[in-house]
Formats: sequence, C-alpha cells, structure tokens
Amino acid sequence: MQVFAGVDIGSLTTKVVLIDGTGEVLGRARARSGYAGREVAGQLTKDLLAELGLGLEQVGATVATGYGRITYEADREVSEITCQARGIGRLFGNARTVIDIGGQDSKVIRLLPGGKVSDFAMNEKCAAGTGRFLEVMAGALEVPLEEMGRLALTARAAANISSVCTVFAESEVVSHVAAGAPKPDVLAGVCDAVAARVAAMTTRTGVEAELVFTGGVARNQGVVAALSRQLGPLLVPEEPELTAALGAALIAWESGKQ
Amino acid sequence: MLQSDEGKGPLELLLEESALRGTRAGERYPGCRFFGYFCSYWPEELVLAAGMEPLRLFPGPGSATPAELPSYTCSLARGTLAGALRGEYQDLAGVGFAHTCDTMQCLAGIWPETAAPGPTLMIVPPVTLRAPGAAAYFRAELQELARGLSKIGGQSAGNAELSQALELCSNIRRLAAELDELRPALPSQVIAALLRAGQVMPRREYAAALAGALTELKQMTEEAHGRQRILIAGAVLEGDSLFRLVEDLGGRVVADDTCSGYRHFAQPAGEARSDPWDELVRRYSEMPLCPCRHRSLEERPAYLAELAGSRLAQGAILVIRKYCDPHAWDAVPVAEELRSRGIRTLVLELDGAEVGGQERTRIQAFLESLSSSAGGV
Repeated sequence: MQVFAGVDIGSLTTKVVLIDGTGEVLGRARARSGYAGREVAGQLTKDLLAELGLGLEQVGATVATGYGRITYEADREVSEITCQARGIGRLFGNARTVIDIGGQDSKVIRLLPGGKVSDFAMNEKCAAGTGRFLEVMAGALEVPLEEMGRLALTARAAANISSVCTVFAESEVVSHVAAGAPKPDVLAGVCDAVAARVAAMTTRTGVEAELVFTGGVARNQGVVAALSRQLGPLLVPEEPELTAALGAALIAWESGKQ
Repeated sequence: MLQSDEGKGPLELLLEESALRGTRAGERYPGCRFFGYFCSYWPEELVLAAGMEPLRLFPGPGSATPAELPSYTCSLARGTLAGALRGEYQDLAGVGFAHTCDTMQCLAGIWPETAAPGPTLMIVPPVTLRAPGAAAYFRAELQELARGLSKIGGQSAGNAELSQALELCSNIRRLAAELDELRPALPSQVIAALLRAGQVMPRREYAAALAGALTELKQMTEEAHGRQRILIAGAVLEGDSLFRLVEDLGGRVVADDTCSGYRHFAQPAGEARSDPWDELVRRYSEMPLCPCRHRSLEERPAYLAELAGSRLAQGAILVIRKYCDPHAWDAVPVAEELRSRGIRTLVLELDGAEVGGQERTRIQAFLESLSSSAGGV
C-alpha cells in the first residue's frame, strides 16, 4: 500500500497527515515543534506509519510546508498558503476566503474553485494578530491558553486593547488588571484585538463567502466569536491546525498520481 | 584604470565591483576622484564633466540605527549615514543629493555636520517635470550644480566636457539596454549585479567591461522554460538577494523598474538635442518616472503595465522599503492598474534589500499562485 505524507512544521506545532492512494486520510498527528521541528516531524511520521502498520518505504511522496519546510527532507516544499488553500478546498468546496491564524503569522487567502489561490495577504513582521500575541496575553493574565476563549465568551464588556503592538498591548492588559477589570473582559478585549488586526487585512484582499477560519487559533472560541462579529458567519474545520498538512498531503498525492 | 586587475575577465570584474559596492573604489582606482550620490535623478554627467567619477552610495549589510535619525527613516538613509559615521566615505570629493523625499532632504541637511566633512551639494529637479517653466528652471538648476561641481572637481564643466559625458553615459545606457533585453535568458541576480556595478565604478571602465561582458553573456543565454516571468518595481536594492530568491523559487525577473536597477539607465525615446544642456534636461525630464516625480497621475502605472505586457510578465512584485512613503503611496495605484490588466501583483515590504523566511513564504506563495493559474500546484 502506498501512502502520501503532508508535513507542516509550524513555529509552535508540527503536524503530519497521511493519506492513501485514493486521497482519503489515514491518520494525523501533531506535537510541539520546540527547537527541532524537523526531528519532531520525522518522529511523528514514523510513529504514525507504525500505528498504521506501515513503513517509511511505503511513503510514495512527501510535501513539506510551514515555517520549517526548507529544513525537512521532502520530495517537495510548498508554501503554507498554497497548502492551506488546497486543504480547505478539500474540506469546504464552496470556500472562497480563508483566514489562517497560526503561531507566528496570520493570513487571508482568497480561493478559486478547486482550492487554488487567487490572492493573499499576510501580517507584517509583527506578532500582533497571531497566536503568539494570544500566548503572551495568556501569560500576562495567568490563564491557560486553551481556557482563554471559553473565559472570553463570559465577558460582560470587552476591555479596549491595542491591536497594533504586542508589547504595548501587554502593558494595557496589566493596566486593566491593576484597575480591577474582570479577567473575562480583558480576555475578550484581547480576542477582539486579534480579530480587528486580521479583519483589517481582509481589506487588502476582500472577503467572499464562504469564509473559513483555520489554524491553531481557530480553536479559540473568543477569537471565533470576535471575528464573526466583524466579518460574518465563519466555518471552522474540526481540526483547524491540521488543514495545511492535509493540503500538503493532497499535493503529494496529486504529484504521485501524475 | 584598475590598480591590479589580476587578469580578470570583464564579467568577473563587474561582479566583483558590484559586490564591493564602491567601498574600495579609491584604493582600486587611485587615479580617480569619486563623488558620492544617492538617487537616479542625480545627473552623473555633470560629475564626469567636472573631472570626477560618480559613485552611488549604497548601505552595507545588516541593520543600522544611527542616533542622528529617527527610527522611522528608511534603511537606505540609516545605513548610508551609519557608513559615513564609520568613515567609509572619507575619500569622497563630496556628496550630492537630489531632492526626492523628506528623508533625503533631511539627510542632506545633517550630512555635512554629522557624516562627512567634505562638500555637500543639492539639486532640486522639478517635481512636475512638464509644468510650464519646468525645463528652464531645471536647466538653470543643472548649470548652478555644474558650477558647484566644477569648483570641487577642479575642471570646468563646460559644453565640451558635458557633451563628452553625455556621450559616455548614453553609450553606457545603450549597453545597459542590451543587457536588459537578455533578462529572460539569464539569471536575474546576475543582471541586477551588473547594473549595480555601473553605479559604483569609473564609467569608462564600466562601459568597456560591460561591452566585453555582453559578448560572454550572449553565449550563456538559455531560455527559461517553465519559470514564472516577473516584473520587479520599487525602491533602491543594494543587494541581489531578492532576485536570487525569485530564481531559487522558480521565477525569472524579465523586467526591472527598481531605482538602482534598469530605471537608473533607461534612456528616453526620441531625438537627442544638439545643445548639451537641453539634452541633459531632456534625459532627466523624460526618463521613466520614480514615485517622487510627475508628468501625469496615470503615467507611471500605465508605463509599468506596458512594461510588464511587453515582457510578457505573468506577475509583478512591487517592493517597498519600510518607511519609504513615496513608494508605499505609489504601490496602491500601480497595483490597481496592473491587476486591472490581469497581471497578478504582490506588494512586498522589505526592511532593507535582504530577504528572509517571511519574504520567502510570500514570494513562494505568489509564484505558486501564478503556476496554479497555468495548471501547476
């Protein structure tokens, strides 16, 4: 049996998706990238293959994507924008706009039918509007990252937080806490700030329904709610952090078919 | 004449000069006096007519944050001022500024006292180049500049000297045009480096070396099948890493309108004027526009769209140096015009001329999207 691998080495997490010769997903795995995303990706692939009772020799082709893609020994490296588009195209055939917020960057991708990219915009060299922004704020508020979104949804009035700069925003968070603002209100303000930053990027590309929100930050219900308020209804994949790896696997599979 | 050419071929010499960015010009060409300048609107012909060699000042690698400039000035200003403070321009006969943006104007203002003790000259070309009276004003401004340069160079930049300089520069521009035509069949970074060499070495040596290199280059040409054809437009690029990255990712720069690229050499069409001052005015009034100059609001976007079309470019990359307002404002209508003509466009902001991982992702995704529309990924 021949399988095809998509490896997404992101700044925070590394993801692997394996698909079979018919293009169906066989398995997926993820782990923290740490300092050695390449090694993590290799180990995840081996473990996943072992779980499926397969060996490395059965991998027909591998496509690497993500921040660490050029470090990984793959048959081909493809940008995460193209992979994300392909993965979302598979999951949501009518998707025409994708918002992808990962650990280190955020992107708006306009799609053509078939999961092809027609245009895109990315954040500048700045952590505002990324997962890292949320991580810093979670640290400042001493809230587990995974609890952040749920707590934000209980806010009564979102605090006003700058969407421009992570460092300034952290000071604002500390000031709100010192002024006695409830934690959920501050968290909601943080989620609003991320959404505002990303929504501003959509003015460069435009937005067309259906709109899909993916990437690790799509797990944060507070950001999902804030983005929905600004941009309208959003579709969120079941496993949003895996869609770029899925796209990479699909490109590997397509190359194997040719 | 180069102090020691060690039997280098013309192509090798030009690539070496380009990599040096003029940093060892005085040592390599001891018989020459170099006069530094920053901008394509600085009339090189007048420097030559005054008996000196024009040397474009490019910042060195790495970031620079001289305390004399606020952090929101572009890396071109910060990098060159830092170089001057390190004493890199001590051997120059002087430095010339053409008024383009506020940053260059302010840099010219502080340069004599903070950067280098030598003379500093300024020219203010007309902003609206075909405005009534613009040509007469420009001619007077150029003649005033010639007087200043003559004093520094010790040679009167009169009609005969200017005519000779015009002829030399015109010859160089013809050779550069020949080089530019070879773009589709040669690695992008090589063309970029060869054009930059023409701004940092003595012009007669450059003309001779480029003529020789062209023979060699024509034998190296190879059709770039399957590469995405790209137009690059924008500000000064003091290095080739953007061009190299485009090549590495499967693209080919088939048209270049950067300040330090082919726009610097582009010669306007039309008959040369018999009066050398009129010809100098004609050249700098009619060369392809930069965002700091105007002939009409639509001209630059239309010119770039036509350039992209004539070179069959599939996509355009508009490069903005961070904090460069003129190019940032300009990129909006240019991108709109290119997109309206079906040319996909990426606006790419760079701190300096070096590209890193984030730029790689943007350019790779952009080239993949072009390939996708052609049936690729």
